[in-house]
Amino acid sequence: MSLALTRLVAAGTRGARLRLVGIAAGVGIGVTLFLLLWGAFNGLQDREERSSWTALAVAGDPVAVGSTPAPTRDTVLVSSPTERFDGTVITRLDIAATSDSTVTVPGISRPPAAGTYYASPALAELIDSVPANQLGERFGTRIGLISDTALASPDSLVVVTGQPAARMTGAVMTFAISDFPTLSFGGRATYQTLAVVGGIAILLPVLLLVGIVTDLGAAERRERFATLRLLGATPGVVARIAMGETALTSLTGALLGVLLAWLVRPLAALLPINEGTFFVADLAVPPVAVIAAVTLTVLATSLTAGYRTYRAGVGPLGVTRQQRERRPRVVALVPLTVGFLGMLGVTVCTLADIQVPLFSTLLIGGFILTAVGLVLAGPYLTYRVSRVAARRARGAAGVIALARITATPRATFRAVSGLLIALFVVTVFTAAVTSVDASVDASVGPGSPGGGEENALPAGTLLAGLDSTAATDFDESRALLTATEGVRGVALAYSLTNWEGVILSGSDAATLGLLPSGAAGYVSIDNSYINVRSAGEAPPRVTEAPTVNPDDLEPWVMLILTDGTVAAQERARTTAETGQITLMGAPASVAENQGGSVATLMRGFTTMAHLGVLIATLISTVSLAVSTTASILDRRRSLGLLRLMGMPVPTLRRIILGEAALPFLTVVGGSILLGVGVAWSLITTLTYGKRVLSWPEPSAYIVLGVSLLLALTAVLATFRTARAHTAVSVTRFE
Amino acid sequence: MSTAIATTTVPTPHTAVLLSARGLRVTFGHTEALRGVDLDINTGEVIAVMGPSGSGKSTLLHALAGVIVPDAGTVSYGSTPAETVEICALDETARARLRLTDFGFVFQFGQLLPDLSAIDNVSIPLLLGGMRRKDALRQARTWLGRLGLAEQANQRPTELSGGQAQRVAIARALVTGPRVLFADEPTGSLDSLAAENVMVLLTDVARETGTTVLIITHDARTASYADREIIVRDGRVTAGFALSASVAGS
Repeated sequence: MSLALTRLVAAGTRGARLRLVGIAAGVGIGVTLFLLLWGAFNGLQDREERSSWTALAVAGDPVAVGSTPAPTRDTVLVSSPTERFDGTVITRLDIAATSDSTVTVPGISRPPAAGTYYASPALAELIDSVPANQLGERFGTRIGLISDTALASPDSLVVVTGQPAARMTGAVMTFAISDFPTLSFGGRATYQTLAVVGGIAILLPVLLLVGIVTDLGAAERRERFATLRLLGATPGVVARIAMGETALTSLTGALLGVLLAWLVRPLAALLPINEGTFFVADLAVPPVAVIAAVTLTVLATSLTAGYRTYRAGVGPLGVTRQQRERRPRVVALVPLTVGFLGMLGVTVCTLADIQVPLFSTLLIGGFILTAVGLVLAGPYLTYRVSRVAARRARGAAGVIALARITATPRATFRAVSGLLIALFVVTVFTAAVTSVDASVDASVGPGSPGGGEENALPAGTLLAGLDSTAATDFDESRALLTATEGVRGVALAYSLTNWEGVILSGSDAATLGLLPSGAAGYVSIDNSYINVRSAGEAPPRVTEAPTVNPDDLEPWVMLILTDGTVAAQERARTTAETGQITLMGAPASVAENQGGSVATLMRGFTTMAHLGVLIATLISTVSLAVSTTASILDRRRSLGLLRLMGMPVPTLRRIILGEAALPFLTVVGGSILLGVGVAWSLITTLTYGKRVLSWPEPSAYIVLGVSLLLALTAVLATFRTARAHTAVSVTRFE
Repeated sequence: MSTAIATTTVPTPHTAVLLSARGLRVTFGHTEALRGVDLDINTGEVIAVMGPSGSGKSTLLHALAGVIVPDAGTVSYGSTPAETVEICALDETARARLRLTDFGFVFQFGQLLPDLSAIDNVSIPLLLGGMRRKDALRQARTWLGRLGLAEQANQRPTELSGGQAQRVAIARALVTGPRVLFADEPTGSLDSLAAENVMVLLTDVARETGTTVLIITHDARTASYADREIIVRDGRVTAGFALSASVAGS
């Protein structure tokens, strides 16, 4: 078999060349996405490793609260109080070190001296962009930037401040550290599980696309192979030509895919996932992986092409072996059933507090089985439904379309399988992002949007947790805060031993609007006033305080009333943090306190959902268009002759629509229900039942609608091709 | 220059002209496929069109059937002045409708939908015409029985022999009761025995139903089943002969 012969057979006509271009493009897109996904997965791991030094709990034991240990030459004291700016959490490490400290802090080498700080480039930019009294003054004097090698992302907001040892009281958990951790500790297994699930969800449509494009124009190719057989080529030679043709084409496509992946890395790195965008280098894939991806793609596609051609039994007069598909069997439902029930099993065990080893792996495995099972079960369900529908078909379009589906359920389902997988993925992610904390009714929480009740905290109030062990002059801090621009008042909430409730002075209660001005003495209010309120809990009530000895009251929380503007809140935070009072962390609203890591996780979910929807839908739309076109091209002679006999064009359109609609409609309901079930299983298991699913936001329905509209557009776009390829002028020269 | 066929010199029982072409010219690029053809086809007549490859036989069939619109000339269809239509003046939709209701087609190969059973293939033109499926299937079954294919009704084209597939195609072409049947090399892919069977069936049924038949063929034996034979060469009709009815019927 010569290369020239392969070239003549494979690319002899314009149509054949276009077909090869289509295959190369499909393989190229597939390889690009695969390499980007691989890179992103590696990048997530790299990020975790780079930023692991901020996880202090791994590095050492906390020092006792209230103790004031001194740093030594080879040990620093480190705490990580929560820091915020405009709703964003800043990773802050306060370090107390000796001047001759030998401890190396990742990204900055030597620990900063008291009153100085190092900031990540993104934080430094943020600090420089706002007035110093809103952010910069909290940290002292900047003496340098934290290196990228110690940051998760270019967007990471990290600050390392030098503190005097006297401030490291242990109120905020403080650690004596000699070596910062530099290895991943698996603390983000939840997110990684979701990342793997998301990656697989995108990869499946990619694999389907590659499978679909390599089968493009198979009928036309078989005719050319039949001619070769007539000229004396053996079935083996024909199969080898098919393999050679596909190998060359997919190699070209795969190499273009590698180039494209390299070119779009800077753009892909801009996508914010979990903790922000990526460094471009994070998305790099090792050369071995690139070679493996290209080799496996070329091998898989060419071997499949050779096998299919050999099995097709192309004879001198055309395809001699019957081309009807094997009838799908009920066993095709097994992977789907096993996968989904497996996921449910893990979830039920988690809810029942039964330890499941490797539950994360089991969840991923269950998800893969469910998604792949959906693709495998689809043809069987399509076949069953089409057989019933075929008996009831009335019009010519219905008879033709249903006969096609019944005869080739795998091929017809394959056309819409990508779309159904996309829909499944969309449902998983849109359902997952609706999850809410099952134990909290956010709608009635203090400071929440729904907190318009008379005894809820005034809007714009910040809560500053106080270190009751530290001797503090609250009057001075109160005066400083009150003098801060945008602050409308300050109140001090106390706790009292053996008393459930927050104690406020009458004047502070008046400041908060709980009592008329001029009130004296002390009042008590339910803890829920400053805490998260549980669902169904009654609104907080103001009651008379017990007889109080002021010396018994322990300062608990400082309530800072601001005008609600970002500037005022940030100024208040800066004043509170730089004052004399020892805080448990940056002052925060109740909403900010409630959000935290959950909000970050949900943002990660949402980004992945949007990415998944976009990529999976686009790929599936292309797959659907390619598949539909291929099915028309395969039958263009018989459909063309029907048009010649007088079949109207609308009938042809109805045939195309019917062949796409039936397999889609057969499985669409199941896909959505499975998506919801999988989302419930993932969320419930990964959060140990703390979060439950809710109804999706309207935007989710819009995304869903747009996806379906795109799919419809893909089918409609093939009408023109179908009309052109079955035109009388084309058919008469066949 | 048009070439009129001397049909007046040939004794024929068919007197009413059903299809009439005048001055047909069709050009593909720089190639003149038809160079001014005049032709009258009578009701119930079986005509064989012969000629070498590339002579314009298929183009003539397509022009007469309204599949293509000639660059020049006219094609009139109808046996009475009141019902006569000028096919070339119709738009594509109207011509498609005319092909569906009044014309039938049989081709050399690949005309049956591979996914449909024989009976479904035959019923398709009826369904396209708006008939209920139950009635269409009944009618299709009748025609399959008439062509000796009752037992193959539920088989798919890939399960049929070449001759059986052509008979299914003939059933499909005749099931709507067309007034004209156009057959382009209907026996081209069959062995001689199968070809003979197909031609006997085709002409018998056509004569029985009074259907006008235009057969394109290379094969003199196939042409011998016709009432009249015309020769097309270089885009012109060069000769016409009346054939013996006994030969056609044998």
